Amino acid sequence: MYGDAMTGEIKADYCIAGAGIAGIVLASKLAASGKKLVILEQGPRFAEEERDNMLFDSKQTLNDLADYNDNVEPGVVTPHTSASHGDQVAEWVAQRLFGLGGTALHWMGFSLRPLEDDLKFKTLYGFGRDWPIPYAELEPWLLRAEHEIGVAGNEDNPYASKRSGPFPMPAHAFSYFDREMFKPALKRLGIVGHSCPLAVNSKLYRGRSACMACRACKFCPSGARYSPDRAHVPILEKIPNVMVLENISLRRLETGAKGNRIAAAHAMRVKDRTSLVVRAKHFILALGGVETPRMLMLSADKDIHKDGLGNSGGQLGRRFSDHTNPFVTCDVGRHVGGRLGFETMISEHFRAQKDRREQPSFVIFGSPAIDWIPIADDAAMWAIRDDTLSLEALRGIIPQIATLWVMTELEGEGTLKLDNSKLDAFGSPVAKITMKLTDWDRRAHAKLVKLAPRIGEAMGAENVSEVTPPEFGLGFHPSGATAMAKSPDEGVCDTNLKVFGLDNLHLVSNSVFPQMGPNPPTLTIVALALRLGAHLEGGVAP
Amino acid sequence: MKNYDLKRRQFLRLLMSLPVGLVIGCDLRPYESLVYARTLTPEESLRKLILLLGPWSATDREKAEDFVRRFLRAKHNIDPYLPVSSELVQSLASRFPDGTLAIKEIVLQSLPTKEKELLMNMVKHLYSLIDVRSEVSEWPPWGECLTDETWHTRAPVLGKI
Repeated sequence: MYGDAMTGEIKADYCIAGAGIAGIVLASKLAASGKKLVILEQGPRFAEEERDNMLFDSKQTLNDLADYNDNVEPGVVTPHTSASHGDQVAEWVAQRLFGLGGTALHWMGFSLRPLEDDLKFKTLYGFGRDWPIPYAELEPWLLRAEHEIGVAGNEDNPYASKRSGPFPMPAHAFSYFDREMFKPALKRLGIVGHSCPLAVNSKLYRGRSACMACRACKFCPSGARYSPDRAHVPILEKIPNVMVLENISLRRLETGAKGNRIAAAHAMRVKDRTSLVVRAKHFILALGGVETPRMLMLSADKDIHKDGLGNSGGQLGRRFSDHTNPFVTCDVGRHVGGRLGFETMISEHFRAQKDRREQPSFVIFGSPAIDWIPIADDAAMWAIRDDTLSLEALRGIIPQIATLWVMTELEGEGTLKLDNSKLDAFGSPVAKITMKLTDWDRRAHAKLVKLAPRIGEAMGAENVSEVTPPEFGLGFHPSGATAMAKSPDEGVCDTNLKVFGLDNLHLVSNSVFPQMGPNPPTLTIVALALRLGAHLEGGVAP
Repeated sequence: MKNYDLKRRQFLRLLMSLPVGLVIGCDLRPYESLVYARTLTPEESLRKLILLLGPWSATDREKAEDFVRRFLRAKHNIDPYLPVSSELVQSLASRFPDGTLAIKEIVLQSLPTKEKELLMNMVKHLYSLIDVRSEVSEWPPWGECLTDETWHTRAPVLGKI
């Protein structure tokens, strides 16, 4: 029915490149049509046993940063991409994953929505970009996305934009720290702490367990955190018209003779480097915020797409953006209690501020110390008195450490290009990202420098660390380089995510965000995948 | 040799049973062990430092030994210390009595700069590890599902959870 994957050519109705959360959710919607669907994923498939082994190994070797791609053969993973800002360089090391499930294999499950204002940024603040669709159009898809992946949340956020329905399950109970320290401290400063929407089950949901507080969320032994390979892939693979192929690397898209359609996707089997060609009626790139624009660049032809696909307006790779996540640690002077693997309380107070023209908005997260933060860097210094290191004091301080961190938006002045000096395992240039922090961007950092000690003081903290990193850092939410827009002069794809100038190529990833607010992008990506699925199958409204 | 080993073990047990307070706040001149006539290897020295800097008391020796075993088996843990700083590790370890666990305090001014840096880096490293943080915070073992999913909501009693 598909041709023969073994001999090198597959025919399908839909070819989706990328089996991360966007590609898999989209495939789940398209699969119901009965049309032939093939999904290509460069990375491997991780069996449950491998997850167990990764968790076991991380404990056995005290490797708190163990991750899925640690033992994947180097040829599978595109060489690490770095982003530079002047002479400062930040690396994406294990933050983006290759494999069935993509980066959502290890995401934390934060499922915050955009605000209505985020989508009309330029109109309201005079710079940046507007989304070409209004919040009212996106909102029903956000609600549907919350149900699709299972988001636990309460309607207790006074800063949120209007919702058209409830969360599918209640939020996780506030921790002792939230209840007794964080919330009262925020209240003293006129800030409301509220539940954090998370794609981590607070109760049994669609056959997946409630969270069992193991705190190893990256591997989630209970299966409570949504992961595409656990929730959607097993269902997809039972459908006869769906083919999910791992260890297949898309190398380029070939345009047809007239230049207005994609004729074929040229891929390569990672294991033996043999080629595979997919011919389909529709092609969808769901490769994430870096690889999606990179693939459009790698697919440049010698004719009308010589500068890359969808780049007639010169917008491909422009206005690349990300988040920054600066943090502080505080010694609050008393035991902070236990922490699930995620924050149960956050505040979006600084998203709803009225001075966004003056400074970026951000979300603030507080909890007992986060696993991946080296909390003893500061705590050990706080345990020194009169040139004597008191390890006894340090052992008392560690249980008293809380972390405060913010996710802040950036103006989006970065660029993504091909780096011809650095090739991947298949000989193609990797992405080169140049960030440019603006004065506006820097003001969020300055704000945290002032705010963190005030929150710390309101919690009774004896010590609050400096803000880390000092200036430039990445939030690992690359976005914006293939923006959706009303015309090619403003972006790369249209309001239905169809690439300008190509009738059968669509995109779905955070690279299509014209402007990214300070909310994690995943829920919005899922909403756009569901919306695209409906559009491709006849424009059914939610 | 066998008889000698037995006596040594007995003596070590006796030494370990001494109050930790006897070795705290000491002037950290190189310690000449009465028990071992030989210098510890770099790996033995690293092991000794982990045990004395870590949070485990004598009653937790088994847990402490398990931690050291896991620490030493992983390249990413030992790379900052061995072999790059083997001599420093040996020198620093030689300043403390053998068999000590959970030392209470260390006078930093008596240490040469390089050893002080190594000591602080090792303390920061150890106490940032989830295993050690869980130990001192009295959290249940990381990565094991709990029957009580509201565990995080409970108030610590007398500073302990």
